[in-house]
Amino acid sequence: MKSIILAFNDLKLFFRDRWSFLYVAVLPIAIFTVLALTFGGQGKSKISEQPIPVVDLDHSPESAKLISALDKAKEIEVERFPEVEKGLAKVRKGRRVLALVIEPGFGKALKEGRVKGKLRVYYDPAKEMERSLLIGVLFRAVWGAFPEEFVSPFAASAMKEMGVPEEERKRALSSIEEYFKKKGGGKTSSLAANEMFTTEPVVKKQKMGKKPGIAQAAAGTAVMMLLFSVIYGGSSILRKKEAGILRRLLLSPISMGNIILGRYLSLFVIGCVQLFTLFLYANFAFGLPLRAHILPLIVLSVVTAAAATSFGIFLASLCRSYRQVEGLGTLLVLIMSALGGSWFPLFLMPRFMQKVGHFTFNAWAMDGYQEIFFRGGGISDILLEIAVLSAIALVTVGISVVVFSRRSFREFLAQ
Amino acid sequence: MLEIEGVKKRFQDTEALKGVGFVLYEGEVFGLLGPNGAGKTTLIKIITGLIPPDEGRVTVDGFDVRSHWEEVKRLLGIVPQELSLYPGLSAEENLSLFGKLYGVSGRELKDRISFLLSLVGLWERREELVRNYSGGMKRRLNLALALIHSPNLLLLDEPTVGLDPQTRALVYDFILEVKEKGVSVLLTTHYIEEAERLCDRVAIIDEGKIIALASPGELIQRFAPEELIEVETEEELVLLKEKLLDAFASFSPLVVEKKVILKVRDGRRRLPRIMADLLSFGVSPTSIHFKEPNLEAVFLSFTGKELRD
Repeated sequence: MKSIILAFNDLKLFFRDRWSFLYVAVLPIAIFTVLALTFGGQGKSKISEQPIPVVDLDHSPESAKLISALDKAKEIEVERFPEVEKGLAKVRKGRRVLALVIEPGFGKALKEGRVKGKLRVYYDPAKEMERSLLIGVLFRAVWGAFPEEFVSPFAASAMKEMGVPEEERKRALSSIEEYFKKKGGGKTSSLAANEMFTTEPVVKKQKMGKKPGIAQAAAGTAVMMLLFSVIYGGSSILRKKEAGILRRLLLSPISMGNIILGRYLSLFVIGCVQLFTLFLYANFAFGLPLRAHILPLIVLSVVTAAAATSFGIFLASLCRSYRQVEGLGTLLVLIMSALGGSWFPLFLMPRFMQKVGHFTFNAWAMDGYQEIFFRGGGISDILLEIAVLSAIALVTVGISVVVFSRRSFREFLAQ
Repeated sequence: MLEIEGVKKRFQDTEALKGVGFVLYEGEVFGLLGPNGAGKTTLIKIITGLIPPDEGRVTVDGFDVRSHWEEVKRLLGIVPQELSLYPGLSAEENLSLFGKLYGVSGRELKDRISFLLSLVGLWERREELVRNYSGGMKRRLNLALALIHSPNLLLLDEPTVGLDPQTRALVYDFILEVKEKGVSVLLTTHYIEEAERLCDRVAIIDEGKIIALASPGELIQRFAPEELIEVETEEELVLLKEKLLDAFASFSPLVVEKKVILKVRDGRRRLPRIMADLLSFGVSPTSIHFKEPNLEAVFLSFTGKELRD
């Protein structure tokens, strides 16, 4: 009985504590929602709708029919470009997985059964997994649009796999050819299904980063753990308040702005050390290549640490106690990490989730690290990410100084 | 050194200060004596610029606290009620940090740290982290921190609340030593002993007003020259209250629950007679306390209540 009384008392205390409730109910629901939206796919496809640049250089009825078939595929969204370079630019920048170019003469070649080289896929080699999934989708669309042109080679391959004797296979294929001729179709393609597309990477091999998986893990962990560090570091301002140190500091010849800047600088240095330590470890233990990317890596890590530090201080400025910062901070860091691509690449998420993800600082930092590690990008390739992260750093720290200064006399001093 | 003129402060429905004013002269220890809630801490907050007064003016060495806060900060050393130390730093590091914030550096800072740590008896343990200190040691370091920049005026807000007798004695010695060095001190307290022992002058404050201001001896001589006789009884005295107040009217009686307090000149001689009278009313004393004239009696004479009420 006494145990039950104690248990009820514990439960009462638990439900009075809003932060415990966040941990137990809200956080798991939020993380589950992100994971479900990412990996659930409602059981229909393994890939979320992806935009694909398509360049039609043929302008034939066949190419129009192909694009129309691609339009109907649920997994992709066709982006039409008149010129090859414009279509490839997005792939080159890592914004798209691949682009499809329909070469001149595709329609004629299709009728003659010589499609090889007429459908070119230019892809980002850093997105290997996504590329293979999307090529599967393209293949289905093309085959669906022109079944007669591709059915013979597919049937030949299937019968061979099933162990149908050669004589039987020839006879069956001949019947298929005869059927399509009677229907008025052209000659069926002699291409094997997996040779339908000519593929070519848009980034040269020597520029491309190695070990993208390790790079994703290192960058993702580094950014997430950095956020945890700055959250706890930022909360120390409120710890100082509760310990009375803030009051004594403010009674000395020092302003709130000085105090915030001091904390900012120390957290920023700690953040940089943390990021570089993790990348160095990834280099020594898992061979993550650093030397080739050192300058952009340093620049990006510095602005990432600056933005994360600002975020930590900003959060502290909005909270009343260090416990609140740590509770809310943990919640936000986990959600931001899931949404922002620290746990898994953003391209695995539905498009709207990718857009939402870019409201987090993680997504911009991860974009930058992926550009460096996956595509061997230099500083000029990550200017946008540097600009966004710098803006986040400046705006949030500016707001924090104003909020803290306004709060200081009202509550830190007059307590 | 410190001039306070007609300071008023209101918090919603409560009038915390009702026109407080006094002057603290250079080199003196000035006590602000009053019960909890009298307005002492509010006044300290106003002096240190933490909250503005609704009316009135506070100047330190001629600098208005509101318009010259930065100058005033450098003149003041403040010992807050609560500890405000970096527990992860040593005593030496805490002093060094705050010294640098006040612009003290080099040889001067080293000498200052060495002097202060010796003054508060922490020199031998100067390199130990503060988190490993006892409560008393932390209190001593808290005092030393307020003096790192050699302030002209030291403000101590209830510096001995919750201290053990040994540490309290150390704080008293510290204040007297600081006074020796020529530093002016404003001390808030509700301990009679503290005010009597340390202060050159005392302002008695109650319900936001200063009700008396003079040296402790002068206050006692003028307002409460009588001894205090406190008689505690077993029973509640509610039913006897009126009779007792009538019978002992010449001794300014105070009857509270199970206690009768009388102010009596030449009390030791008159005590047997008073006891006989009390017994005749059916009062059975369980203890009798005889107090020499002190500031508590002064407070009692002004307010009709005990200082610790």
